[in-house]
Order: sequence, then structure tokens, then C-alpha cells
Amino acid sequence: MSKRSTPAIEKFKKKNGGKVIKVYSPGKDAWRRFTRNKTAIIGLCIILALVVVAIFANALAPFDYQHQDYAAAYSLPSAEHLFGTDNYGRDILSRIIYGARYSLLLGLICVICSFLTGGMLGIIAGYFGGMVDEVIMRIMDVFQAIPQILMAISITAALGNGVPQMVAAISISTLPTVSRNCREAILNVKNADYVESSRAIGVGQWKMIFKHMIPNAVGVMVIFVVGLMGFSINMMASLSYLGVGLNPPTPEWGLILSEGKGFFTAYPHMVIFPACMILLTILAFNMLGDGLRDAFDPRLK
Amino acid sequence: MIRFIVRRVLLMIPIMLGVMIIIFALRAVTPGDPVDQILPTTATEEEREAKREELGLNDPLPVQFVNYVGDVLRGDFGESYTTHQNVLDEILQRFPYTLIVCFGGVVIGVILGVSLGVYSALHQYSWVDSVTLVGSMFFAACPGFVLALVLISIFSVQLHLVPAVGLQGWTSFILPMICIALASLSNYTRITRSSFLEVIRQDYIRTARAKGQTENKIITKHALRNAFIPIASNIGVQIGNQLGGALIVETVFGLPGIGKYIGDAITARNFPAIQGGVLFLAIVFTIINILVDISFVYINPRLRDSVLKNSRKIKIKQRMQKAA
Repeated sequence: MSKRSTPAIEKFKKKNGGKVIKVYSPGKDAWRRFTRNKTAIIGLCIILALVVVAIFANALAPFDYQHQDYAAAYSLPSAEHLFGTDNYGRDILSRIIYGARYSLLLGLICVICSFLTGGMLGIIAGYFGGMVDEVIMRIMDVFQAIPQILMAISITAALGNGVPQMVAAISISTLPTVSRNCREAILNVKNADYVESSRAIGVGQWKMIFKHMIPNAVGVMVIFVVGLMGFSINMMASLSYLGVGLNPPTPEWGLILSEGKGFFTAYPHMVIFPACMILLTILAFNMLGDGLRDAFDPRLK
Repeated sequence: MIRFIVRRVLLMIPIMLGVMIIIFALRAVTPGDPVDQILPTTATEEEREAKREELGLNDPLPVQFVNYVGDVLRGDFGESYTTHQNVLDEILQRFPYTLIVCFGGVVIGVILGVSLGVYSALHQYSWVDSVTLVGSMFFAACPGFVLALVLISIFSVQLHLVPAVGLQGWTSFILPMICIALASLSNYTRITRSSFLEVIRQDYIRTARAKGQTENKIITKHALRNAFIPIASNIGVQIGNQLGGALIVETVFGLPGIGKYIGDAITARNFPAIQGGVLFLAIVFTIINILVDISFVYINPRLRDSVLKNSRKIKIKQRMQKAA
């Protein structure tokens, strides 16, 4: 604790019998509560492990993800092929390891794009209010009338398979939820006293948004980003499963699963392992998101 | 009340127009000439030009859009590339299956979710509570097709209890319904639990206990009715996810609903069918949301008052009171 002393601290000390109790800043307090939350830490560890796997995929994967060994096709999990091989004799473990790159990186890109489009729209709507808000939110109402996965499917069906198409599909389909959440976050800080006082001392409009409002709304947004990440990965896998995501032979988890589904009854390992990876990743992001919410939400102290 | 309903229905018109703009825009950016898909490859250039003229593809885009809206209003969603029939007719034939699966899934999900949520709120930190919490986390993370494949492998392939794919009597609906229910279960459970925990700490619950009301009645009559408002507002949102989820579930289970129709259309690159199906589901979703909004007014007394306050009768009454 610092040695500085003010009349207020002295008074506080006197009241508490000379004892100084630890006072945490909101950020530190949130961090303290976050690290105490077991599910959140487990989620964070899984995500970090996945990131490491994705970065060092070249070194970790025993085979190349495109390497076809017809002699070993349809082999069940063994010492050589830990997760077995698929109908082309490709090592499923290697494909899954490379797939971590696609899922995490594309998930991140989707989230960034959603925020650059939907997030900005929501922030603008929330900050300016009035007519701007009305117009933006009515447009979002229209987007919301089409269920998200249907929206994504009709976009990728029209534009074709591929990475940019899929990113566009997911960003557009999440537009209404992202903009609504950002708008709400901004509305909550907009009416706070410190924003009013900065306005009173003449802080400019854009400085107000980027220096005062966004940093204070960031807690809510971080929670939302983590949740959105899980959602994007889920959506990507679903699109690939339906055949409107990425093109084979990309080792995307949904695509690996989709390619193996025809052999599901005879060779369940072709479906079970990618399915487990999808599940584990989304679960990790959801756990982290829940932990962050508990840590940031002052009501749950 | 009628004014509220009429206003809500009228609000649907601009939203539907917006949806049509989106789908029309998607149609415009779809690569490939629709004429190639409709006519056989042996067609001459004159025949193709005639077909193009007939479909109005040579008109400027705004004219095409107005024609498109007119067609949709007349029930013409376009012609399927594969079967050469009106998409709307095909959709309407398949709609009952989707409706049954979604409705069954919602009902099972709400009943199971609310009861689990209430139980875990009443027995907070018990083993049932922790199992529910972990389970709901698990199901929330599980993509629909993974869940469907797991259910098929357990109940059809291993236990032979229900048919795996295709429509073979009413038993074919069981797994898809459970699949949809489980996907939304976690949402209902969590919301019920948190809203129930909030409600049972309220003063009126203590009052009810103090006056000697039985525990059962406190839960069903006092707590659940008040806790149900956030749950009901969530049902409307969830139905949208479920209509989308039906697409995946029906594709996996091979049920001949709209979801399967759209899924097949994706594989065949049958764009009118995809876009018609999406438009139809968007219309259904909007109508369901209106129904949810209206039923809300009945569930939530506070909302009922605010709706009635704006109604004409009450305004006239107030004016008369003021005058008197």
C-alpha cells in the first residue's frame, strides 16, 4: 500500500480501528475475481493451449494435412495415427491440428469484421440517438427478421464458398445482435456522470467516444466478444457441414466432420474427433465469457 | 388492444419489404445466368433471349424489384431449378413437418428448461444444480449437427429405438424434437434459474410465506408467474434460432421439412428454392414474434396497463374525468 495520507484516509483509519483495508481499483478487482473463477481459468487455459497448437501446427502435426496414404485409409486410431485416418488415408490428428488455425484465426477475423461493421453502427446509433439511432435500428430490425443461420446460408449460397464469403456471411448475420449490444453498452455509459462532466468542460465528440465512453464500455464488450467468438466458430462449422463454408481439402473442423459423416456408422472416429474439438473450443470460449461476466458485472460482487 | 395489434401488424410491412430487399440483393449478386439453369443446354440463343424477356431479366433493377415484390404478394416465389414447380407450393407441402418439429422442440425445451431452472434455483448449490449448470453449458456449446449425430448414434444405431433418418411414422419426429429442445434448453434453464433466484428473495414471497401459504402455491402462483416474464421474452428470440436450427436438424435426420428443402437446394445450387425458403421462414418468424408480443401483453400486467393506457377508450375516459 502507498504511504500517502489524506484526511479522508485518516478518518477511514480511525473508523476502522487503525486498520487499513485493501481497496482495489475496478480493473484489479475484476482481475482478482476472474482469477478466482475456476471455470473461467479452465476456459482460458484451453484457449491458450489451442492457440499454441495453432501457432506450432507445423511442428506438432505428425503428417501433412494433405498427405494421402491409400494403404492406410480407414484405419482406426492406433499408435501411428492417434485419431485414425479418413477415407483418403489422411491423418485426422494432423488435419485437426491444422484446423485449429482455421477455426481460431477465422473466428477472430469474423469477430473483428462484425465489430467494425455492426459494432460501429451500434456505437453511432447509441451515441447520436434521435433520428440516426432510429434509422440504424429499424434497418437492424429488418436484418433480425431473418434467423442468423439462414442469413449466413443465403449469403454464402449466393456468393459461393471461400474464406472472404464466409467472413462476410458471418459478419452480416451477426450484425443485428452486435449492433444492439454495442448500442446498449454505449447508452449505459452515455448517461453516466463522468460523461456529463467531460461534456461540461468541452471535450470534443470523437474524443469523448474513444477516450471516455469506449474504455468504460469495454468490460461489457469483452464479454460479448468472447461469446461472439464461440458463436462464430459454431456458425463456421455449421456452414462447412452444410457444404456452404470452405472448400475441401481445407482442414476446417466442420469440413472434416462433414467429409466423415458418410462413414459415421462404420468409422465413428472420423466424426467423433472433429466434433469433440468443435465442442471443446466453443465450450472454452463460453466458459471464459461466463467467467468474465461474473468478474465484470458489479451486481454479482 | 386492437389498436396495438393493428399497429404491430402494420409494422410488419416495412420489415417484410426490407427482407425482400435483402433477398433481392442476394439474387442480384448470385453468379450465373438463371436462364442456363432453367433451359436445357441445347436451347438456342433465341429461346434463351425469349426466356430472359419472359422472366424480366432485361429490365432495370428497380423494375425487377417491383416485379419481384408483386410476384411474392401473388404467392409466386419463383420456379425451382430442379423440379420446375412453384417454390411456394413445395414449401407449403413441407411446412407442417417443420412446424411440428419446431413446436414440439419449443414445448419440450420450455417445460424441461423451466422445471430444471426452478428446481436448481430452489436447491441452489445442490448436486442437481451443479449438474444442470454444467449440462447447460455443454449443450449451449454443442453445435446442432454434432448433437444430432450423437443422438442418432446412441438411440438409432446402438439401441435401435427410433429410425435414424427419413420419415417412418411419428417416431421419426422424436429425436429431431429432442435435438431442438436440447439446443435451447440451456438458455431457458439459465434464465429461469436467475430470474427465479431474484424473485424468491422478493418481499411478496416472504409475505406469502408469512401468511401461511403452502410452499407449492408460493412457487407456482407467486414466484413462477413473476419469474416467467423474462423467460417469455426469451422464447421469441429462441424461436428464430430454432427455425434456423431446424434446417440443420432436418438435414441430418432427413425429415422432409423446409430445412431439408433448403439444405437440398444448397447442394443443388437451386437459388430460387433457397431464397424462397429463407423468405418464407422470415415471414413465419416475424408472425411468430408478433404473436409473442401480443401474448406478452396478457402475461405482463405492467405492459397490459401501458398498452391500455394508450387506448382510445381510456384516453376519452381520462379526458372526461379532467373535464368533470
